[in-house]
Amino acid sequence: MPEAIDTVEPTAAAAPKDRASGARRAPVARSDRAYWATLYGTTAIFVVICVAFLVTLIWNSVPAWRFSGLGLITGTKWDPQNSSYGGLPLIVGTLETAAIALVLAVPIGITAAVSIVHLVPSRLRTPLSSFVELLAAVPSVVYGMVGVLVMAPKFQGDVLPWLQHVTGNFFLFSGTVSGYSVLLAGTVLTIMVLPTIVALSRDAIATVPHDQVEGALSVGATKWQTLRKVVVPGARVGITGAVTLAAARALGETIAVAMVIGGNVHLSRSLAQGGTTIAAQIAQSFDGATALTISNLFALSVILIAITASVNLLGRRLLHRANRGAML
Amino acid sequence: MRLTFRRAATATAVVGATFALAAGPAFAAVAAHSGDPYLPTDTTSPAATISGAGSSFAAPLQNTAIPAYSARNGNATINAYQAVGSGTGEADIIKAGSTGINWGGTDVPMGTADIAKNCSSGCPAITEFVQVPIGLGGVGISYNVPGVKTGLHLNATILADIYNGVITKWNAPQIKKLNPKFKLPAANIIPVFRSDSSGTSYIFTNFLQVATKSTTSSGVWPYAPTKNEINTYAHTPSYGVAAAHNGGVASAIANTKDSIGYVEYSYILLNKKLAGSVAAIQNGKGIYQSPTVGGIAADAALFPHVNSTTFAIVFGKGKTAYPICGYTWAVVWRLQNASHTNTANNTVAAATGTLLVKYLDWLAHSGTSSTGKAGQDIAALDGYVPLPKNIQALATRTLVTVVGSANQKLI
Repeated sequence: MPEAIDTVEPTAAAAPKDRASGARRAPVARSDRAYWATLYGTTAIFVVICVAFLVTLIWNSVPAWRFSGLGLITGTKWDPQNSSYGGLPLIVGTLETAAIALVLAVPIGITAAVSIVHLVPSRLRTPLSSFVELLAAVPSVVYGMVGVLVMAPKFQGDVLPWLQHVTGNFFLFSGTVSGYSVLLAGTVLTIMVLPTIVALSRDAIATVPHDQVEGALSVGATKWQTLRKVVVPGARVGITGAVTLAAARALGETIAVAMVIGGNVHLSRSLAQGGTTIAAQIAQSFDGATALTISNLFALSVILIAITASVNLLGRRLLHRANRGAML
Repeated sequence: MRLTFRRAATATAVVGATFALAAGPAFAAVAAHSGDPYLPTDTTSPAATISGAGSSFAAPLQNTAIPAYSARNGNATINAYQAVGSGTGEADIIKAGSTGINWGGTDVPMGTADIAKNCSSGCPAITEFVQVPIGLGGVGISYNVPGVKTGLHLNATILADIYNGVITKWNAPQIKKLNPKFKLPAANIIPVFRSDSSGTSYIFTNFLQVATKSTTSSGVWPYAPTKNEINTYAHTPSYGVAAAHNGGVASAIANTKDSIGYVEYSYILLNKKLAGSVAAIQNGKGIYQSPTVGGIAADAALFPHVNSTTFAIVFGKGKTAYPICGYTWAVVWRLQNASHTNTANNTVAAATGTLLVKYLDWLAHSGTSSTGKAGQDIAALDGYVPLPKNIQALATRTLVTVVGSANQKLI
C-alpha cells in the first residue's frame, strides 16, 4: 500500500528537486518516470497503429483514385472485367441496407428498452436483460446462416410476393425475386443491431433519476406521458450513442450481408432484388482480383470509413444541439 | 460420407506410399528396368523445398498429392498449397524472386497480358515460363425447380439466353421444345453466377461463346471469356444471384427455388440436392450428355493438341463427350536459377528445380501396378478426371524443357 501512494505522490515538477536532494527518493522518481513512459508509450503505440492503418488504406487506394477518379463515387457500372469501377451501386446498397435496419430497429429497440426498465415485472427484468446481451454476442455468420437457410426461401416464397401484391407492384418491391435481396439484408441487419440498441438504451434509461419520473407522475402525468416526455428525453445521450453504434455496425457488417444480399452489382430501384454493399463486395470479390481491382476495393473501404465517420459526427452534432436545447 | 471416403482414400495413398518407401530399392530396380520413370520412391539430392499457390480448383488435388509425394521422397519438403486464386497464383510466380513460390496454379494458362498486369519494368517474356496441365475437370449445370427431375435437356443457346435475361420463365417455348416429357412450371428463372475471379466461370462462358457461334439473333454469348475477374455478372440480369466460390454457388442453387447455376463437377457429387437435378447438355455432335467422369474424359480426348495458348476443350464433337470441360495448369520458370527460385545460389536452385519438375511430372501422371498411385490416381479419388495419356505425355515433354542455371536438364 505505501509504495502505491509513493508512486503517485511526486509531481513532474517535484521530481528534479528530489533527484538533486538525495538518493533516498530517487527510486520513486524513477518508477514515476516509468509510469509516465509506459502510459505515453502505450498511447503512442495505439496512435501509431491507427495512423499506420489509415495510411495503408489510403496509400493502397491511390492507384484507384488515379484510374477512376470521382467515377468511383458517381459511376454506376461496376465491371472489373472491363476495368470499369463505378462504386455508386455499392455505396447506395450500403446506405439502403443500413437505413432499412435503423428504420426498423430504432423504434422497436427503444420501445423494448423502455419496457424492460419500466413496464416488465422486476423478476423478469434480469433474465430479459441477459438474453438481450446474449443476442448481441452471437457471431454475425450465424445470423447470415439463418438468413440464407431460413429467411431467404421465406422471402422468395411469401414475404416479397405478398409485398408486391399489397403495394400493387410498387417499384420499390417489383421484379423477379430470388429471396436474396436488399430488403432481406436490411432485415437481417435489423435483427443484428437490435440487441445493441436495446442493451445500450436500457442502460441509459435506467440512469434517468427516479425523482424525475415520480415527479412527473405526481403532477398528474400518465405513465405514457411520463415515458415519452421525461424518460426517453432524459436518456437521449445514451440512446443517440446506441443508434450511432448500431448505424456503424449496420454500415460495416460484412459476412452476414454478403451471404444474403445476392451480390448483384446492378443499380436497381427495387429493394426486393439483389444488391451489394461495399463490405460485402470486398469479401466476395477480392480473391484473385487484379492489383487495380484490389486498389479500387481499398478506395471503397476508404469511402466506407468516411461514411461511418460522418454518421458518428452527425450523431455527435445532434446530441450537442439537443443538449444545448435542454439547457435553455 | 463422401468426405470420409476421400479422407480414407488419402490415408490409403499415404500409407501405400510409405510402405513402398520402406520396400524401396527392390521395386525401384524392377520399375527402372521396365522403362517406367515413376518409381515407387523418388530421390532428389540434396534435400530441397518448394511451394505453390494459386487456383482453388486445383486445391483438393494438391492437398492430397503433396503429402503422398512427400512420403515417397524423404528429401522433399513441399509446403502446403495456398489456394489464393488463379490471378494471385500468376502474380506470385511472376514475382517468384520475392514470393518464393515455385509454381503458380491457374485454370487458364497465363498470357502476355497477365505478365503486363503484374509487372511494371524489366518484365519477363511469356516464353520464359512453361505451363503444364495437372488436372482435368468438368462444369456441371444444376437447377432447383420443384417437380423437375434430373436430366433436363439444355443447350448453349438456351443457357446464353437465360444468362442474358432473354429467357425468363422455366416454361419458355425454347425449353419446352427440348423437354416434351417434363412438366415445367411458369416460374421465373433465377440464374446464379460467381462473384469472384473464377476458372469455372471462364470454362462456362468459353463454352457459351464457342457453342453459340453459329447462332444468329438471340442465344448468342457476345462476351469474350477473359481471365481476370472472370465473372459474368456485369452482363447478367438484375434478378440473378452472385456467390463466391464453387461452394457458394452450390448452396445458392440448393437454397433458391427456380434457380440454375454452374459449378465444378466434384461439387455436384458432394451436394446431394445438386446431384439430384443435373442438366444434360448438348455436345458438338448434337447429343445431350450429363456430366460423368467418362464424358469429361471423352471430351478431353477430342482435343489432343492442347497447349498453353490453345487450351479450350469445350463443345467436343464426340457421341459420349460432355461439352463443358477444362484443364487446370501449373506455371513454372523455364530457367531455375537463384533469382527465379529465391534461393542462395544456383546449386540450391538446381536442386529446387529438380524437385519441382519431378513433383509436377509425378502429379501429372497415372501410376502403374508396380509403381503404386501417382498424382492422377489421387486426382481420380478427389473427383477429378485423370488426364488423358497424350496430355500426360505433353506434361513430360513440357517439363523436360525446364533447365538449371547452366542450361543443364533437370530430369
